[in-house]
Amino acid sequence: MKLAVTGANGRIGSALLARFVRIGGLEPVAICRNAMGAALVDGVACEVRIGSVEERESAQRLLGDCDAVVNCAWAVGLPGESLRRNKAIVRNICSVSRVTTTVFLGSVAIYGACIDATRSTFSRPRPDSSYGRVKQLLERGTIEAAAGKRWVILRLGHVYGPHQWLSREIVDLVQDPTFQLPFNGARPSNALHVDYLAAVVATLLSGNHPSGAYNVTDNPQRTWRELFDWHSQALGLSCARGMPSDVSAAWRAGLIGSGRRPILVNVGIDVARWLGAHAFDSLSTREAVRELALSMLMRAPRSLADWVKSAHSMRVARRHIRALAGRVAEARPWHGSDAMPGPYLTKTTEGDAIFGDASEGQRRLREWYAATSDPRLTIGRTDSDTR
Amino acid sequence: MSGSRGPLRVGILGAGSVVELYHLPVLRNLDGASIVWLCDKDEARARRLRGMYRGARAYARIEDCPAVDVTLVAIPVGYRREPLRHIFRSRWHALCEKPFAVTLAEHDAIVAEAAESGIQIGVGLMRRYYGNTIAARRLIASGVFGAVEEVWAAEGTRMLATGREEGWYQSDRHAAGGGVLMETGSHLVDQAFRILDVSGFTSLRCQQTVFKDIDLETRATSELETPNARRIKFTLAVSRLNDLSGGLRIKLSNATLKLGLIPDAPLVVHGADGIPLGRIEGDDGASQVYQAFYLEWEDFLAQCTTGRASAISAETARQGTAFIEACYGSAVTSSRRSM
Repeated sequence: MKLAVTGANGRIGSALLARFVRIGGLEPVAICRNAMGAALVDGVACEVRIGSVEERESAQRLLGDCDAVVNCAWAVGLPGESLRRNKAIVRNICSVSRVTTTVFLGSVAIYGACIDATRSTFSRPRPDSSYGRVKQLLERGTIEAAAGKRWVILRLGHVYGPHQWLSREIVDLVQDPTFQLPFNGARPSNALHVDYLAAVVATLLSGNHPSGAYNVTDNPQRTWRELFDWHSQALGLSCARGMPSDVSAAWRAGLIGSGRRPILVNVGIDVARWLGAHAFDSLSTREAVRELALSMLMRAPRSLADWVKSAHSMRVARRHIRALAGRVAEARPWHGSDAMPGPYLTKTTEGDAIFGDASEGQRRLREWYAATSDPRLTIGRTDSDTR
Repeated sequence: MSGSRGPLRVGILGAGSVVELYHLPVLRNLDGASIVWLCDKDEARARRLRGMYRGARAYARIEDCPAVDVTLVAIPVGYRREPLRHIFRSRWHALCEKPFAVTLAEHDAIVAEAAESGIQIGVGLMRRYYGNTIAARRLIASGVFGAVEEVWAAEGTRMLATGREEGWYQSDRHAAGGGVLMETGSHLVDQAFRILDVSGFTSLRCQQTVFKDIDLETRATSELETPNARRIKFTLAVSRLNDLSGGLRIKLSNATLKLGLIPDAPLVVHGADGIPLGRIEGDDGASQVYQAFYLEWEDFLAQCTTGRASAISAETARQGTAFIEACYGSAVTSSRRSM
């Protein structure tokens, strides 16, 4: 089967491509938008084609002899522009007559930033970000464009592994002394290793899965604690501290509440918080304001004056304490979601091999981390290094 | 201890201005603490401050106060022994405002009694949490500018008015334990000793100006000992009679460090010729007084819950107490009839 990977030089596309070239029966073709992108996949043993599938004609040229396409391309821009361009990509892929199977990579974002599975369901997901909404619209676009063909939508969880944003973020967070993992990491992560994704897609293409949408996460689903500790263990870093359960619960309730409110209400709350964050108490250091306040307090009853004095001290103390270096009074944003609702696409044996302690996955993560954190490696080796 | 993982119950003994201005606003903003009572012999004042902390009760006698996990002892040092015994018997941890004790023997006795009772005890030396103090301590420990050779510490303002009533504790030697050296000097000496990690002192010479047993100005020189066995020349001046250029000046073999007395005062590095080379900012510590009190409370509450010594554990303040006691004991005094 000749399999095209659009966006082949991207973070996910390149990982899929590296996997597909090692699988018998698949003949992967890398589709890159330009020569720079093609240069990034130059070392992969497969054909590399340069061009944009945003244009119908070039899509025919690039994909005309392919049996299946895994669409990892993502055209960026403002939401409207991104939607228009990505819809064109989907439409053009599906318009190629030889392509009988299209795999579209959806996102966990379609369920909202903090998944409340009682409200955001598989059949009626409720995205609360422009990215999630665009992904939802593109799912519909794929289904419409691929009518009469096989289509598979994979709602990907958070992808980790070498070069993946999630792993970069976790590495930063475990080294941040102020970070606390909500619920001590006991919540489901909805995460998946990029190699596991590749294995799932390979299984999908070699089998006869019917058209449909599926969630994809590691199997079994990992908790955030497992995922953070996996990174810490692999890289020799300290483990993330846990956030107390009561603080976590309040933080999650805030996220859920925010997701349920209309956006205009959230805007109002943000404006009120922004106003509240201003150091209005510091107005009292302005001479005229202070004089006015003191002259009013002079006429006020003692109890009122005491109350004003104590309220002022409290407020100044709170502002100063919140300004302490490295202290964040509010929880740092992280994920506290339920597991993605609905059916999952799994490949049962691959997950353990990737996630296991002595796994290939950890070794490759270490290599990636060493390359990103050792300047000698990233700048380039000298003669003395190689000797 | 309360047993559960909820906030620690705090009782406050003394309803003076340090409680009103600093401890109460900070404790209100500290998740790990809940004030249960305020106790002051002036019960009306305790009741008035109680208004700042909803749910707290006011008492005039500590013997009437219900059980808590931690107490703040914010009454004058001269009045503490009996209340501390009650606190120890009740097995309440205690954070004592400075000065901790008037003599080293008293200091050690309090620490020993606390240890026997199995409670944690700390001293309110909040300057230890100033960002500039932490940075100076780390810088000196690193040795990057060489060894410390000499230190000058000064703090003084011509006191024009006290703004206090007749019975103000600082005008009573027995209550306050001393004058400006005990009150202001306990902070300044501790700040210097903390930065330098002082383990002892010798060759002390002290001169004081006193009025009715209260020292209004103290000047002292000494040689300080540190764990690396180097002797450091030390000059101290604290005054209520003269405006002094306040701060700490630390001469090292390759540079001189200067830091002011307020938490956001910069730590400035000067070259051998005295020209400022630049400022050093640490990553943590307080740049506001409220922040210093907050860090102090946070650290001490952690000591109470874990048993691990905090930065203000009472044992760590012995040298400061010993130095101040020795100053009073050896001072050559000159008296003033009036201010």
